[in-house]
Amino acid sequence: MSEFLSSDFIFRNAIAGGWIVCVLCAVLGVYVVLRRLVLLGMALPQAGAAGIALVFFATGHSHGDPGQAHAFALGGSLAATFTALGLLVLAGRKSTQPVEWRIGGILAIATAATLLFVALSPTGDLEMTSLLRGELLAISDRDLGVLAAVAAVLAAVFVLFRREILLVSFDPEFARTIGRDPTRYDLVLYLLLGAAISVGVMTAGPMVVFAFLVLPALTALRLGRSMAMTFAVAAAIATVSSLGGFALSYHADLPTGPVYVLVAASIWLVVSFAMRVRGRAA
Amino acid sequence: MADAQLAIEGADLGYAGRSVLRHVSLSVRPGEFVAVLGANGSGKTTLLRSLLGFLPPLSGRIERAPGLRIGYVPQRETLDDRYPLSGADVALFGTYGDLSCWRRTGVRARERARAALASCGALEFANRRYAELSGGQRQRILIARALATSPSVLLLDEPTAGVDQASEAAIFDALAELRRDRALAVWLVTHHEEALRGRVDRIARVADGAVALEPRA
Repeated sequence: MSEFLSSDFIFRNAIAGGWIVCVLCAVLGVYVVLRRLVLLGMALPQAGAAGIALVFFATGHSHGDPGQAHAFALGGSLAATFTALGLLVLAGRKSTQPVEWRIGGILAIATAATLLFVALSPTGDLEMTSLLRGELLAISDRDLGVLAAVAAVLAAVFVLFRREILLVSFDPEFARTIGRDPTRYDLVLYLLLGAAISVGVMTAGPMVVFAFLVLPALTALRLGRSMAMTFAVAAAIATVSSLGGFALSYHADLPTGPVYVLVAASIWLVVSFAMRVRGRAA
Repeated sequence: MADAQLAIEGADLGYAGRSVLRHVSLSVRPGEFVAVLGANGSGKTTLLRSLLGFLPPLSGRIERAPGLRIGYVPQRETLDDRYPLSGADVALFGTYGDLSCWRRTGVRARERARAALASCGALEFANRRYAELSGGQRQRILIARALATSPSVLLLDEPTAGVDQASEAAIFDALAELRRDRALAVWLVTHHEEALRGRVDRIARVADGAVALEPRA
């Protein structure tokens, strides 16, 4: 364990980057689950992945300066995620159809687009594997700095608007009566989600992002007695899952992303089982 | 609008250009207890949403007194009880309109919410999880939340739907007391005309696309 804490440990950035993404997604995931946006939590990371794939295809990821390629890929992820969000919001303004229909459509398009762009990419399968796993192990100091800065800004915005986001999520009509416009604060939440997903997909891949938007929140909502406690439990589960998952994947020589997800899923299953047993005994 | 806090004058009310209620004229006066009665689909909710300012009139005017605060109590079934919130947390939402993003939820806001809970007889169960409260208890919490906004008008959408008779009587008594003590205008949508007999000042009967105001029941 001590080698993980060493300042010259080769995977120090991977551990820190993975932890930041997991905690960020876990905390925002509480709203993804409470507001029944789980399908959105799946579609947006896939849209982000499609954006990265498009950039890989258009620029040739394996050639040239890796820092520049990462910046392009982040741009692609951001552009695709916010385009998907924008389409959902615009199409939903006058639509009477359930939002799930539109989210499902975007998920299908994003998945197909990802596969298509990867197939058309000069480096093909190599890009695909890298894309789906994320590039946790390849995080440079600069990438980590950007990720930490983005996470700090998102955390600050989340704390600043914590009351309004909760209020419009729980009871948007009441919020309007006290002068809090639900559309405005929904937009703040969607911007937070879009930004977190974009940088998260770049860093850890769409699978890890989707899993951490859902699994820690599912567990935390079973254990939390208040919103603050729920956020804290979600963040703690994300911390245990990412740090424990990294140690496990390092020693067992397994890919990091899936192991992160397995640890978070194990915690969810154990807690759910324990709660059910406790419920029967009570 | 003379001494009225809120007035609708010759208005057609409805959605997307389609009138649900026509030529509506009424005023919400301080300290008045009014029951809004009508069959399902008659337009009670349209009237309530227009009073709240959610629906602009299709024609005519809706005027509000400057700085008017409306405390709104929605149907409690519209709220999601999976949120990990206590009754006190829900009541505290009523103070959020006066808090800027930069300010913490301080002692003053908590005391205001506590006073609102006390005036609804909801203090003893306020620290329990909202999801674990009975229908009548949740309704008291929602009324407390509306009171925590420091309103001069209270609008309630079927506050006693699905609660037992004892709880219904207790809620109506609490509203009557609030109206008396605070000179609150209380407008309440309900199907339970009998239970309100002798408690209200006027009845707004919604039927056939019109609102008819009747004196004390």
